[in-house]
Amino acid sequence: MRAVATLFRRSPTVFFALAGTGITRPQDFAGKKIRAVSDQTLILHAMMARIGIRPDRYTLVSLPSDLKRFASGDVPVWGGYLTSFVLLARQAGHQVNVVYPDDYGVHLYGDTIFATDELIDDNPDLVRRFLRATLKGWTYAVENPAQIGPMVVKYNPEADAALENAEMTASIPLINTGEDHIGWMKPERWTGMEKTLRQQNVLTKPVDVSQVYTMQFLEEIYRTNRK
Amino acid sequence: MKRPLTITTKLTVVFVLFAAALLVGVGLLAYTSGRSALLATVSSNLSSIAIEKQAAIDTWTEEAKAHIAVIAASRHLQDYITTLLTATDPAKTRAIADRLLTDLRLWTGLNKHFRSFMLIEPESGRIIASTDPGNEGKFVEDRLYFISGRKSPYVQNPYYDIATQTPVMTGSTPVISADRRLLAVLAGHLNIDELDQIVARRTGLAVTDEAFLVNTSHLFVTQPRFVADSAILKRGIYSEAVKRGLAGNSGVLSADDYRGIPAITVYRWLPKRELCLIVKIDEAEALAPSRRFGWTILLFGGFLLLLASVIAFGLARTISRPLLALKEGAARFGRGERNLHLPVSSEDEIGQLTREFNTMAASLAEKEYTLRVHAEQLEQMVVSRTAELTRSEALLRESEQKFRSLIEDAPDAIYVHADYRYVYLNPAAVKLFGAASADQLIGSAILERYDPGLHEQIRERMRLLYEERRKSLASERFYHRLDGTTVPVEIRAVPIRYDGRNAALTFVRDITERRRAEQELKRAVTDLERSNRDLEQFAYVASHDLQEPLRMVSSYTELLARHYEGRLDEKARKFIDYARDGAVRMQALINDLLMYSRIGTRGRPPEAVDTHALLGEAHRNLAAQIEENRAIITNDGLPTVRADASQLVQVFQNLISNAIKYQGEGAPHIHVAAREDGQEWVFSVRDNGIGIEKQYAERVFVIFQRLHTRQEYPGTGIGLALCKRIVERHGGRIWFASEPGSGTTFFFTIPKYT
Repeated sequence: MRAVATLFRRSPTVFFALAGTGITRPQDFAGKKIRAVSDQTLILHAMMARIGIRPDRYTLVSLPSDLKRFASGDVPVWGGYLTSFVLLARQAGHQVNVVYPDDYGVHLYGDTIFATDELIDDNPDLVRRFLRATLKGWTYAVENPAQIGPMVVKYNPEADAALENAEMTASIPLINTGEDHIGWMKPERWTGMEKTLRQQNVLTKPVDVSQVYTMQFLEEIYRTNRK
Repeated sequence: MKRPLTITTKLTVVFVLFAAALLVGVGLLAYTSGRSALLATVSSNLSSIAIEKQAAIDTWTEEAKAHIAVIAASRHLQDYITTLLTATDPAKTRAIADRLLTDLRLWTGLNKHFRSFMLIEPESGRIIASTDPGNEGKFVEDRLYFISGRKSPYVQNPYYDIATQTPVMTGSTPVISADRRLLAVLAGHLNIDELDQIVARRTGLAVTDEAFLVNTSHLFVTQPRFVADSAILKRGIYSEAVKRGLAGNSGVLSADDYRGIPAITVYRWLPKRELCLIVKIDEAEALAPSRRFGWTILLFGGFLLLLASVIAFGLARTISRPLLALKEGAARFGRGERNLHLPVSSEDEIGQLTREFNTMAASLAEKEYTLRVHAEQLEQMVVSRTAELTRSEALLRESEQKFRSLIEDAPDAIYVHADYRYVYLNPAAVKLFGAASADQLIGSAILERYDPGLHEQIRERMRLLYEERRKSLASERFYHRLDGTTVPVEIRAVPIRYDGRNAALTFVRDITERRRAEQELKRAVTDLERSNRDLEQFAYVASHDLQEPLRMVSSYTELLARHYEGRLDEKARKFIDYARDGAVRMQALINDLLMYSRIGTRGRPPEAVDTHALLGEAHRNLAAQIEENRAIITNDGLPTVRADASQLVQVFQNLISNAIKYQGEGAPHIHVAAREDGQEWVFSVRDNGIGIEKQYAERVFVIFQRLHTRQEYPGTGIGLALCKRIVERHGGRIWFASEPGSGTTFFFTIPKYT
């Protein structure tokens, strides 16, 4: 299996606290309870390791995404998606300080599209066309974030168009770095991720990153696909 | 039908087309060269603007680089950094950092190159101090400005900053100590608005011109004029000009821009910045003067064309007027005007044509007159011929009508057949066949009316008739009528043409009655012949058998007379004489009768006989009577004929004997002659006797009929009956011509060859 494109080239996972707590940096997490679930734990440990704070100096708590609980302040630091929980908290009227793991040397890709080696070998055209359509959609979304809410509502009438628009707007810097094409991947980023994952013992032995992803389709699409 | 174009129109059209082609050619040439020149000017202007902007951008970034390099070169700054990096007390460190930042802030703000600065630890990429306090402690080890800024002054192209969610452009430079150690990397976010202003700055009076930068990811780096929302680093642009520019080229292009509007675009690759600069203007605006020029040419051209049309029309009229006059003359001639002489207005080809026309018209008029005279004569002939024809037709119709009624009313059956089938039948034929109408038979096979055994023969005969190998056919047949009965008919058929086909016209007569009459006649003849034979037999038998008793009467009467001679008184003798005389007469009668009857039964077959010799024999037989009466018998040359000699002798003998017996006052003179008359000889026996009354013409030839008493002229009255019977047996006739008192001539005929 290989990655063929990355949509969130910066992970939307961030850590945040009510502005009143004065917490603005990971250094401020020391001695605090931190809500972290699933891969947030990995990111948190990697980030804290980067600034030299060992895991025994902070406490992890596993909680559901509960805005009331966040507002109560008994757990000051919360891990969550910049594009959803943080957005909800801000919409609820809270002043929130956000710590981006990306600012502290943890550079992980978010939503990434993979294809099996068999599919790539047997039906590369299908992969290419799927990817091209997907990227076209994301490009449109980045260029027209205000159109996204009504579109989501069309397929999911229970969705909140304004929230969807806000989520899309918040997603733009994660998707579009302004430096290269949407979906584009960088070798040094894959190398960095491998390193981070080994440090965190997610990977127990070295992995040849050149076997993990392929630029074949992105290069083809951006060479030929000009609307 | 489409009306043909007149000469005037044609000539005008040709002249006008020529003028139009000329004007269009010249106009197009003027327009295209004007447009090319304008395009070149516009392109040149745009290129100038692009070059100017490129220079400004380069200057601006170079200045930024120089500026930050100058700051980094400050010994003051280097000292601060050295101190900062070596300080262990956090409070002291903070104080040093604050002082450092205070100094750096002097270089930031509006109208300055930089908005903010940060000092970055060269090994880890950690921000050790920043005019934006929130950034301290962050790591930028993967950022381009950090990586490049460790080596030399650098300006990173705009990128999207997550924290501020804005496009950011960052300049950086290494901070190197006097002893050539890399102390830190100094980085600062540039006032990107300045770049925007440099690029967006517009000069001149154009309305639709604009300029923007595009990065290698096809994203707008500066805001395009005609996009309302912020497009920087958000919107992509894939126009042809951008593609060419990003491929490292510079040039001019007329093509649709990102809005789909035709534009003249100058694209320019900025190698130092790795950006594409686009300077463009809408084609509609840029080429507006060219369009106006085009309209002017069009209007002027239109006017010239109108003028050319008027001139062309006038010219065409001068050529076509004499032709029209000629045409009018021809039309007048066509309408019948003959005293025509068109004025000859020129000596050119048209003048010659007019003269020729006049000659031709005169000649034609003369010929037409002759023709009219002929036509009138011809018409007269046609009228008379038509009348004749009408009369003939009437006669023909009448004749046809007569013929038809003749056929229709004919008592005989008449029908026509072709291809062995009836095609016409008259009412008599319909009746003959026992049909209700002709339709019942028309189309049916003629052979059905014949006995099947005759079909082949009839078919063959009809074929010969159809092919006219026989002029006519006649036969007697039996027809099978429709009711199954048969009828005897006499048929005559001739070949004819009927409705264009070979056919046969057939006349049929019902001969039932004739057949019956014939049969009756035959039966009557047979009866008569048998009766005649019986009678002859009777006569012969009677006369023969009567002779015996008569001889006894005669003999015994003779014996009686002789035996009692002298012993009988007068009276008795007289009685005996009467008896003897009666017996003698009876003997004569019987002999004659016997002879008469023997003609039919005992006659010899005919043979060639010399009638002269026969006459001699008759003469000898009558010698005593001739001698006694002193009769003179003469004759002409007589022929040889085929006859029963003894019978013919008898005829001569009887006729001569009668001539002598019925003599007149003088001695009898009898002349025998013969002449040829066709197929027979006519013999004549002429006398000078008492003659015979005409009313006895038949009676004299009847047996035992006498015109005189026995006392006047003796005889049995059988002589001429005998002659008639003999002549008729030989196929001849007998008659007489007589003048009572002066003689009689008997005629009889003998066929030449019987």
